[in-house]
Amino acid sequence: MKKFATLIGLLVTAMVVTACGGPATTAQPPAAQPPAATPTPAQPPADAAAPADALLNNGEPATISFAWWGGDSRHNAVKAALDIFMDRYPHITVEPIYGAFGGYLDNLVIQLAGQVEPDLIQVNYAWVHALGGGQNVFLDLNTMSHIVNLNEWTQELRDFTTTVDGQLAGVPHGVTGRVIIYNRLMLQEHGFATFPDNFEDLMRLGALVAEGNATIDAGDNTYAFFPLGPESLDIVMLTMLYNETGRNLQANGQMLHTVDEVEAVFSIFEQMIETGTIPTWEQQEYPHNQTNPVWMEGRSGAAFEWVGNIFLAGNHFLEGDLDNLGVALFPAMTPGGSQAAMQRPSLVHVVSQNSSHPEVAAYLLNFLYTDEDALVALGNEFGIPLSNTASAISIRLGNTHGLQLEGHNLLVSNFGEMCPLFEDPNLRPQRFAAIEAFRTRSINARQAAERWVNDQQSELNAMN
Amino acid sequence: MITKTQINAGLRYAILIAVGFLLAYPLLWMVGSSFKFNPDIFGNLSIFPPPGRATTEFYPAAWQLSPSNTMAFYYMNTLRFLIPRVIGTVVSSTLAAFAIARFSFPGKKIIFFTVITTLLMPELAFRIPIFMLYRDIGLLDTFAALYIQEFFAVNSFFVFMIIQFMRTIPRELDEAANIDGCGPLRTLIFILVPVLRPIIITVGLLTFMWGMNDFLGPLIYLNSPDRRVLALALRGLIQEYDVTHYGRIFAAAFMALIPTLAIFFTCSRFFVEGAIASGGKE
Amino acid sequence: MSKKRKIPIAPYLLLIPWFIGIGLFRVYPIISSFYYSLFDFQPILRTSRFVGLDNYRRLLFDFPHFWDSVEATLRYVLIGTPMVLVAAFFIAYILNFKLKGVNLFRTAYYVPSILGGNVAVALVWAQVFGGNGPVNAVLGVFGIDPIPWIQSETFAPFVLIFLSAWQFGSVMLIFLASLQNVSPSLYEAASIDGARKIRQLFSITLPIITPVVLFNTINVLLRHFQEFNAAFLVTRRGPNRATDFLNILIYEFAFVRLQFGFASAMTWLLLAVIGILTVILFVSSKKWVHYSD
Repeated sequence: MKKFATLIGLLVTAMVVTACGGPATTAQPPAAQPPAATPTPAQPPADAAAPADALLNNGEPATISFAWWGGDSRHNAVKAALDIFMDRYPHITVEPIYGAFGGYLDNLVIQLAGQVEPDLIQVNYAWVHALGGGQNVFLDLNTMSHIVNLNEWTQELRDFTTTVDGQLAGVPHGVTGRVIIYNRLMLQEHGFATFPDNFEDLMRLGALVAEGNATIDAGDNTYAFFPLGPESLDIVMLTMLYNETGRNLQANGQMLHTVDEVEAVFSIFEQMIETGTIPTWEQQEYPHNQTNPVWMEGRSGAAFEWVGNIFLAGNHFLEGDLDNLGVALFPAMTPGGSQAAMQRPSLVHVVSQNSSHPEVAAYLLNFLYTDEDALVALGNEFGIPLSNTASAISIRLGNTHGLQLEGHNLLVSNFGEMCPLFEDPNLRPQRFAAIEAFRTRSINARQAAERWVNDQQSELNAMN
Repeated sequence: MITKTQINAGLRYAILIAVGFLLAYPLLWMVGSSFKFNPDIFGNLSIFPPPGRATTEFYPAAWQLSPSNTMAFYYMNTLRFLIPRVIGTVVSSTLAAFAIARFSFPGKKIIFFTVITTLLMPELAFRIPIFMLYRDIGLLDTFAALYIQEFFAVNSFFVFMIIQFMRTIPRELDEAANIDGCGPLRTLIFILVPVLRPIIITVGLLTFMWGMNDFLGPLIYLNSPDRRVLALALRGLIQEYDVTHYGRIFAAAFMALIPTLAIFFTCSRFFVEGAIASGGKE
Repeated sequence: MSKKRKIPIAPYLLLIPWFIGIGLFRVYPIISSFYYSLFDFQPILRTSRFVGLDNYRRLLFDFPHFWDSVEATLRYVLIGTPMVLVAAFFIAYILNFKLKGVNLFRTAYYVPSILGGNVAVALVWAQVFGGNGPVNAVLGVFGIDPIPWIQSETFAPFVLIFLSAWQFGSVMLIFLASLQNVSPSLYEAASIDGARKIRQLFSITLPIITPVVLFNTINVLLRHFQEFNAAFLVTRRGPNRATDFLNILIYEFAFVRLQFGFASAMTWLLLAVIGILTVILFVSSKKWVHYSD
C-alpha cells in the first residue's frame, strides 16, 4: 500500500497537471493531447480490439450480465457504452444490472454465496480484499491476459491494489477519497472566506453557525459541518486519527492506535457536538445522503464527500447552485498540522469465477477500458481513470473539470493511505457501533475509544 | 332523561371511534401527504393540504418507481411468485388437513403433533439450509424459490386452520358420500370443498396479503433487477438517492397499498371469519 | 371409517406432499442447521472447518453484540406482547356489548393487521415518528417538547411496539369470537349475585377464555420474535442496537457477513430462547388455563 501512494501520486499528478493547464472549467480542445503525460503510450483502441473480434465467443451467441451502481447519469452513460458494444458484436447480449449503492453489497454477497453473481461486476476496492478474507473470490485476470490488455495498468498498480493472494482479482478504475465540500454563502455570512483548515477555527465557526439551534431540528437549524451519515463520520474519525498520528487503521491483523490516541479524537468529536459544529445525534435525521434537507436547503456549512460524488451532492445543493460550493481539505487537528486526504483505488471491475462466458466478460471489460467510442460514451462518469488509454482519452476530452478536478488535485497533493480493510464488513460495524454509542451518550469518550480499538481487534483476531 | 345505559353506550362508542381514528390516522396522513410539498407535510397534524397548495405531481413520479421501471412492472413481479404461492398453499394445505381431520390411521397423533410443533418454529430457523438447498438445485434468483415450499403444505398455520374448520363440518356429510362409492379425493373435491369454500378463500387471501408484505424472502432469493418485487422496490425509495420529495414516497406507499386494501374491503368477511377460525377452541 | 381395522392407505397418499415438505423444508433444515453450527463455514470460498462448539462459546462469552441483541429482542417481545394482548382484549370486550355497527368496527380495526408488515407502512411509520412528524406535533399541542423517537435508544423500541400494537385487530377478533361464545347464562347467575361488571370480567369472563388467551399469547409472542421489516426499515436496527433483534442479527451474519456457521449457532440459541418461553407458558398454563371440558 505504501507504494500505492507514490504510484497514484505520480500517475494522477502528471495527468491532472497537464489536464488543467488552463482554467479548471474550460475543456481542453482535443488537439491538446499531451503524449508525455501517459506513462506508456496506449495502443489505438480499435486496433487492439480488431483481431479478437471474430474470435469473440467463436461467433456463438452469448448473454452476459454487467452490474454496477451509480446515479442516473452514470446509468445512461454505461448503457450507451454497452449499446456500442452490442452494435459491434450483435451476437453478444449484455444484460445491464444497475441501481443505487444502497443494498448493492448485500445483494452481491448473497449472489456470491449462491454462485449466481453477474459476469462482469463493479465492486469497491475494499471488497476485493474483504470478501474472501484474504483469498480471491473473483476470476484471476492473469488467466485472461490474452483478452484483457493488462499493460493498461502498470505492474505496480496491479500489485499494490487488486492483487489478492497472488491472483489479480480485478482492475482498478481510478482513485478516490473524501474531501470537504463547503457552502460559500454560509461561510461568508460568518466572515470566513474558505472552510477552516484546523479544528480550532472550525469550532469557532461552528458555534457561530449553531446559535439558536433547536435540540430537535424543526427545519431551520444550521450547522457548520454536516457529515452525511455513519459512513461519512467514520472517515471523519479515521482522518482525524491519521492527521494526528500518521498511522492507518491496522496492519497484519493489529490495530495501530492506542486507546489514548483514539480517546483524544473522540474528545474533539465531543467538542464538535458541544459547540454545535456538527449536529447532535437527535438533530440528524434520515436520509443520510445528498437529499437530506439540511444539505439541500443550504443549512449546512459543509459536507464530507467522495470526490466522485461532488456533482451528485452539488446538484442537490440549493437546486444545483454549484457556483457557491468550494472544495477543501479536511481540517488539521491543530493550526498548521497535517491535512491528509485519505484515499484508495475507486471502483474495481472484476469477472465472476462462475461465469459461463468468462472470455466474453473479460472482452467487455477490456472494451470498456480501451475502446475509444466506449470511453467517450462513459465520459467522466466513473471519475478520473488510471489506465493508459482511458486517461489519455479523458485528458483529450477534458472530461474532468471544475469542482471535481479541484477535488482530485486535493487528493493527489495530500496523499493519505486508506487501509484495504477499512470497509471490511466485520470491522466497520464495530466502528459504527462505537461511534453511535458515543453519539447517543450511552458511553463516554474513553469507553468509546476502548470499544473502537478492542472490538475491532477481536474481529481481527477472529479472522485468523 | 339520559339513562346510565345510554351513558355507557355513548362512552363505548366514543372509545371505539377514538381508537378507529387513531388507527386510521397514519393511513389518512399518508394519503394526504401524497398531495403535499415537503413544507406542508411536516410540523403539523393536518391531513389535507393547505388550500391551493395541493399537487398531484408525485403520482406519476411515484408510478415511475425506479429509473428503469414503473410500479406495474413491480406488481407483475410480485404476482409472479404470489399466484403460484396462493395456489400451492391452498391445494397442499387442504389435502393435508383433509387427511388429518377425516381419517384415523397409525401415526396421526405424531403428524398432528408435528404440525403444531412446526407452527411454533419461526421461519428463520430453516433459512440458511434452505438457501443452500436452493443453491444446489439452482433455484436461487428464480421466483420458484419463493413458492416451491408452499406446494408442500409447510405452512402449518393454514393446515391447522383448515383442520379446525373441518372439525365443525358434520362427518355424516362425507360418510354419506363414502357410502355412495365416492373415493376420498372425490369426496374432498365434490363434497367438502364447496363447504370449505370460506376457509379456502381465507387461506388464499391471507397467503396473498402476507406475500405482499414479504420483504426478507425476495431480499435473500431474488437478486436480479428484472425480478425485483414491489416490497424491495419500495425500500429502494428511501435507500436510493432521490428522496427529494416526501410526497413521492407517500404516493408510492399509497399506491402500493391500494390493491391490498381493495381486496380486503371486497372480501373482508372472509378475513374476519378466518381470523376467528384460526383461534378456534382447541 | 374407524370401525374398520384395516389400515387406510388414502390418508398417507393425501399426505405425500406434506411428508416431502416437512422432510425437505423443516426436518432436514433444522438438523443441518445444527450441523452447520459446528463449522466455520464460508459459502463463497466453499471452505469449512470443524470447530465443535466454538461458535456457541464465542456467542455466549466472547460476543457482546449477541447479548445486546438478546436484550433488545426480549425488551420488544416482553413489552410488545402484553401491550398487543391488552389492547386487543380491551377492544374486544367493548365490542362484545351488543352495540350497533360492531361489524363495521370489527372490519375497520382489522385493516392494520393486513397492512402492518408492508414495506409501504414502514416508510410511512418512519415519518409519523420523525422529529418533525405528526406524533411530535400532537405532543406540541400539549406543550411537550418534541421527542427524538427514532434516534433515541429509549423510544425507538416503542416506535416498533406501537406499530405492532397498531395491528391488534387479528388478535382482537379471536378474543371477540371467544367472548361471544361465553354463555349468557353465566352472567345472569352472576348478576343475581350483584357482581359488578369489572368483577364479572375478572371472575367469570377471563377464566372461561383462558385457552384463547394462551393461544393468542403464543401467537403474538412468535410474531414479535420474527419481527424484521419495521426494525430493518424504520429504526434501522438502532440506535445503539436498541432494535437490533436476533432475527436481523442472524440475517446479517448469514447473508451479509456469510458466516453460516456462526449464524446457525445463533439460530439455535434463539430457538432455545423461544423454546424456553413457550415451555414456561405451557407449564404455567396448567395453573391458569381452565379447559371447560
